[in-house]
Amino acid sequence: MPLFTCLVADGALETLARSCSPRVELHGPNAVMLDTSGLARVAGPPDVVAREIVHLASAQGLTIRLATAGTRTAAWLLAHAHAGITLVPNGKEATTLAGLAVGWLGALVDLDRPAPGCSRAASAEAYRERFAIFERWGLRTLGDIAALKRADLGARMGPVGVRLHQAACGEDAGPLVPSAAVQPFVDRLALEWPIEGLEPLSFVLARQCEQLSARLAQADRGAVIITTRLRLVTKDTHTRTLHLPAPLTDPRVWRTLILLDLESHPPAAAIDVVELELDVTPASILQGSLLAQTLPSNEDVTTLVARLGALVGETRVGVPRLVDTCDARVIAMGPFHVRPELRRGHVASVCPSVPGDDCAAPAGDVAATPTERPRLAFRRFRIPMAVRVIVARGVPVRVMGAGHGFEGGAVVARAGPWRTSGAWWMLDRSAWNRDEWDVALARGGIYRLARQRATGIWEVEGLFD
Amino acid sequence: MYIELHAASAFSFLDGASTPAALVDRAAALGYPAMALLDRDGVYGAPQFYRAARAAGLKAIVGAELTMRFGPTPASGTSAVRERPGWLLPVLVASADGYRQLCRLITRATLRSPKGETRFTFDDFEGQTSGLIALVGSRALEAERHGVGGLIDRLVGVFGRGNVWIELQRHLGREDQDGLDSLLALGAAFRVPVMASGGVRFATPEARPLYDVLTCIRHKTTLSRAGRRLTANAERYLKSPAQMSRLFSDLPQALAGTEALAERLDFTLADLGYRFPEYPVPAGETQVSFLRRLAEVGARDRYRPYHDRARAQIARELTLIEKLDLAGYFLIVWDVVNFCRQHGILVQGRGSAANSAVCYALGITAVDPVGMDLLFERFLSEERGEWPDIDLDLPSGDQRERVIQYVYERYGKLGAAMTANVITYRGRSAAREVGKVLDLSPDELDRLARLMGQFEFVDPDETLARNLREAGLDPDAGRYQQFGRLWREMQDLPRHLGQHSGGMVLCQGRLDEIVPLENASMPGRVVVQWDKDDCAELGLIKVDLLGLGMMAALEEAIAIVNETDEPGVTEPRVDLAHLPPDDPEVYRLLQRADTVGVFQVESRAQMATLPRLRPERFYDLVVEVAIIRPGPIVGNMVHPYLARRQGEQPVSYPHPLLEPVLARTLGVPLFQEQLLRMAMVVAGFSGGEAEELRRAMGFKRSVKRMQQIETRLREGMAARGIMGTDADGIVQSITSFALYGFPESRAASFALIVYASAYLKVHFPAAFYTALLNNQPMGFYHPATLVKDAQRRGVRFEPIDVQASGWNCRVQPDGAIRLGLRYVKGLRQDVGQRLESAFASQAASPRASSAAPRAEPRVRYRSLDELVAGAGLKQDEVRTLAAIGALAGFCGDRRTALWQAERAGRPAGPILSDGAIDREEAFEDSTGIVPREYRSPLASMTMAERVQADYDGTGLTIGPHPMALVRSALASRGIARAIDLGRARPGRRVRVAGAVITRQRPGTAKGFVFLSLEDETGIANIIVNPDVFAAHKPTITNAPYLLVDGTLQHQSGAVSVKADRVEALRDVGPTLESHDFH
Repeated sequence: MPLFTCLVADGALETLARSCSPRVELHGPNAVMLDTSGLARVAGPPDVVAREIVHLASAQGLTIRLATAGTRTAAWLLAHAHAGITLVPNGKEATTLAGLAVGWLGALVDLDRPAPGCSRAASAEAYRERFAIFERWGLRTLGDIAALKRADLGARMGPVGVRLHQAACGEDAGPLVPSAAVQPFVDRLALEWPIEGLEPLSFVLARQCEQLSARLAQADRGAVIITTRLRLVTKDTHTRTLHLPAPLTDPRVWRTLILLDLESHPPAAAIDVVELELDVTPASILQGSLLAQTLPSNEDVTTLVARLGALVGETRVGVPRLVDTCDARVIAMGPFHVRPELRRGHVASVCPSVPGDDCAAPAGDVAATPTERPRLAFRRFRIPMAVRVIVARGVPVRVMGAGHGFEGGAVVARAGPWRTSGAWWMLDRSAWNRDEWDVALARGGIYRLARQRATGIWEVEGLFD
Repeated sequence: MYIELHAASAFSFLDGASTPAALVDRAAALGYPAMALLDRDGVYGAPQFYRAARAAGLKAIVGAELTMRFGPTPASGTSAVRERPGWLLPVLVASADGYRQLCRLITRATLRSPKGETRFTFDDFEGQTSGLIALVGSRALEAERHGVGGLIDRLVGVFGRGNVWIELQRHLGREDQDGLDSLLALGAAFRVPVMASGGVRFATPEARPLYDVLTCIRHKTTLSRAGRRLTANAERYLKSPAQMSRLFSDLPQALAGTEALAERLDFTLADLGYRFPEYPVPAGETQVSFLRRLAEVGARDRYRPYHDRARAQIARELTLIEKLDLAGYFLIVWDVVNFCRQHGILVQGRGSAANSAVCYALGITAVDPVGMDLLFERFLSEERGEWPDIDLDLPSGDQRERVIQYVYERYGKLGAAMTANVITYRGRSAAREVGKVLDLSPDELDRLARLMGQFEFVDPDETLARNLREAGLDPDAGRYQQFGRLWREMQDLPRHLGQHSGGMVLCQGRLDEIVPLENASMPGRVVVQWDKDDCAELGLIKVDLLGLGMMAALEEAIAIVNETDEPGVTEPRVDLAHLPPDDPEVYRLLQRADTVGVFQVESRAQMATLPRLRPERFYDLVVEVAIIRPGPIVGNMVHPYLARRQGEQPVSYPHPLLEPVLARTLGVPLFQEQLLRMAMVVAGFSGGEAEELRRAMGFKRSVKRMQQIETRLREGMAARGIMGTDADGIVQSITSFALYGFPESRAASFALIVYASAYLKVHFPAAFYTALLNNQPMGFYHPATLVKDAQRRGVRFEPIDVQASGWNCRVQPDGAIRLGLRYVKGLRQDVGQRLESAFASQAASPRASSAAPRAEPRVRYRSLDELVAGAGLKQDEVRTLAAIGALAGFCGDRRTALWQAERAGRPAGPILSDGAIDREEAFEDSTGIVPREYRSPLASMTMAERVQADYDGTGLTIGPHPMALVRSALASRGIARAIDLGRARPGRRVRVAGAVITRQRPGTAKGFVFLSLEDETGIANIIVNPDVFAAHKPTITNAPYLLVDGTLQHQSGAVSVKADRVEALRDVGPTLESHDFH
């Protein structure tokens, strides 16, 4: 006789389930269905098996709801409805379920979730609609539903009605479909002797990457995140995570990227254990074209950016992003990657230097910028310099030097003020209200001055090249 | 000198943050001699701007910002206007001709566009630009598709070279100068002069946050996400001429341009050239002679005999009407009334028109002002210099729409339009909008919206901080303080334009040359861009065609009564114009306050007063209507009047001279007309002067004007020897009462309807309640309460049945009311009417109104499947009909119907068929046994389930009241029924419970809350003092059923319970809808 056991808990159950039965059907992390038919010969009758499973769960710190019945449906519904252990004698499924409130049938949505490739199961909305009908009919329990004729329900509610009647009678709509265990893409290597420096590490990484790459190729997957965990002789773990812009499969590229990253963030001590873990997605397939512009591959671009990052610092490599604000001081950078539009050759249609969704700036801003005149490049100081400014008739006439190589001097020409204010609704210090002046000094140089209108403080923000 | 020629107000609807008055105040303070208001696609704010400017001594220049479409006009029928937001072309009015052109332009563009999406094209301007000046500025630079040069060239071609100016604005933005340089170069190239402007969007820099909030609302975003859609700085405020001179010191020609241009702008709203339409009179007649003839004929019909007093009054009125050249106005109103009479539409003039004997003679009003000694000057006087105001009450709904369409038809689509109603931000709407913009969470939004404007009464201690604290929000938190500040600033700012409930403006010639017209949301309606006050201020005459639910109900009730067969009776049984006067049963009903459903006197306050006032004649009804108003309540007139009426207080007068004036109201002034007469008697005012006094003391008080009039009043009294405390008392009485007093004429008009509705309730209750149920929403009570009230009066109801019900409720031959399909929630009206037409096609009598048919057809549909297919019912509709028992004709009980409802319309094959039975045979089974096909395995509904299903499916029940189902349990807890309260001793402690059907916290009740609890025996009135309310606020405002402990109070027959403790009564049943916070 078939025997199914359903486990429901607030924690992850897969490991527990697989330790009890080889035939496990996963329904999310918190509910599993086991085929426990064969356990009687190993562990004893169902009540013993049930207690044993609860005991195991308890040892893992899990409080579970367990129901064992001759059908998956009955076990599933009872495990959801009742706390503790529920054992249903064979053939008594309908009787045991009869007292359950109709609403528990809602749990079927997760049980009947179709396997990939199967036809769609009824949605939660479809179930809710039927429950409303049951309520109008005055049906309160599964026994009330089971008492109706299945054909009558089918005529009125279609296949969903039939399924609900089956469930109310404790009958299954399909067999248990065992879920295969997911293999993590992890490679861990404990070294006989600790290694120091990146060069010896590169050999280790090369081997690990090759192995992982072979497994990935078999699974037709590409890596999008590489996590490197180095256990050090100090017992600390040095962890680095690389987010790749596209699914990559080349182990040499992985190794290069890991090493470049570790060059920037070296471990603090010799390494005992090296562990690589990959997050994967289906690998991308690139189709070349005779007509499209030839662009470097994802692997080349990613490697180049990583090299640049290692050279100048990660935060200093990328593409500038247009920020939707009137505050000219705000700058932002995004990661650089070759966009699909460029690959297809649609260069002209691409928003300049703004990837993807960041193109949502108000219409006309780019087009309204006059392009006829030559423009000066403005070099913004990383930290504006506070200065004193002498003002006459409302305009700056002299800037007093503040050291740091800026000597100031008389203002011989000026433009401004350009006034901006905003973020008045922010309760932190983000609100701003300032006047900007572009001034040419007698000693040479054109600078941008800014005056905070609330405090009267002047600053030199940068200079024009 | 610089003059600001480009400012927009909040009437640009979300693109301006200051009212026109605020802009004018600021302009006056800055010393501007003139200013122009250019609102978006209209002249919405122009009247207020003109009014404020006139008061401040400024010249109010008119203009508008027109939203231009990019590219050519799309082909008709396409929705290309949604492609891109347009660019703005500011246009100024230079002459009266220009104003007419602008109004016509705007009208044409708005009438062809969906609401809020007006777009102009250059084609619109062809031949329509005389007297208009176009400004080309930074916004025109956005029209890059044309190229600005081409654009200027085209504008010059359309408007003429002297009528296009380059507009230069500086807002301290980095890009300003680029635009300015381009515009200056283009101006030189095309020989177009330049002028400076501020592009003003708010009066002061402090209004910038509010402008940002409005911008976010316009773009449906929040402040944190709005980015560059917000203004870059606060520079779009109204700057002083000196500031502008400094700003444009390098462009003196631009500053001088403003003055030169302003001198050319010679038009203000002082003279719009408006004329009221002339009524077409027969050959050989003038307007006046024809009016005299009609009045003479009408008076002879009304006054039998036509006595000298009436004759003299009518002659006096006609003389004044002729002198003021108002005959055409009276004739046009008479024409509308005549149309109503000819088409059987009830109509009654209300308002101050009821003071006119000419109106009475013409049949416009139904109250005899001579007989009631009403004061004509309250309606019309020479001194006032204003048009009279005649409001017509019509049955709400289709009948009123017929009259409105008649007026459109008669005066042309561009000759008549509804007045607008400017929808402004108020408590809740402002709270929701500000909250959203500030990114408050949905929960915070709900709580704040509930807090704001929940009650009419505002407790002095009910500050925002206190409210926030009560709602569990921290009042000291910066974000809530910010919210409160913005919320306060947003109050009363225009949000969008709506349609006034009934005011129609008529015009001789084209109304669209006086004010732009636009489409209303309602199909077939056109509205002007001004509200009724603005129209009145600018001399536009309106006729109010107001929909009154009770008029529609009366009309229908009378039709039902008169269509009911009675052997040997050929005359109508009820004629509204000839109801038996002073029917004792009517007054008995009123005296015991059995007035649920009766016009005007059904509110809790009215019902509490009726037993004390004990009306015995028609004039008592006039008093009853007027006395429960803010004026008498605030002025402490109610209790003295009632005490004097009951003989508890002697009748006295402020001065012996006032005895004739106040005798009818026992020495207590109740009506506005009495105020006027008081001034006439004690100070020798003429009727017109007295009306002037009333207006001066009214809501729009001017201190200076009040002082002038008070001086005259005191001088007049002094001349008659009234001085000292007597004079002070009279002045005090007049000044305090003028603010709130109710016109006696209006009260009399309403009293007629009170009497008629009470008469029908007493003598023809079935017809009365049927009509009330068919004209919902109206009145004070939910239909569920009306049904229960009717049942308590012995009226029988039959349930909704698809085989017997029409769309409307109707009276059956057996006298019972058959509920109509209109009460089935979710049932589409066309489906309901299709069911009714099936009924009509089979009915023996062709009369298929709500009146009783001659013969009941046996069936409409032979099976449920036939019903579903024939009427086109949807599954949800079938379910609802089954749940409320409307399918009983097919299926027997409701559960069986619900069982079959799931099968209906789904043909089953032989395997799934419930049983092979011949359906026709089953239907023809007349044994009373439910055929086998319609049996179900389901248990029948319990009574509680049926009541619940009734409320769920129809909002009412004709079964037991939910309280009746729990009565035995309540009785064991010592809870009294509503009917028991009247028999108990006053002062006793009582417990009472019921469904909350009304919650009120009137502004005049000092924080007291009044609840009406309904149970199966009637309605219990509960009074909750402010402390008890504060202690139980969430329960009182939210719980559908309440249990109240309190002290019983009897006050001259009015029974109430003063609550000490209030708690929610749980597990009773369905939630009844309540009318809250009237």
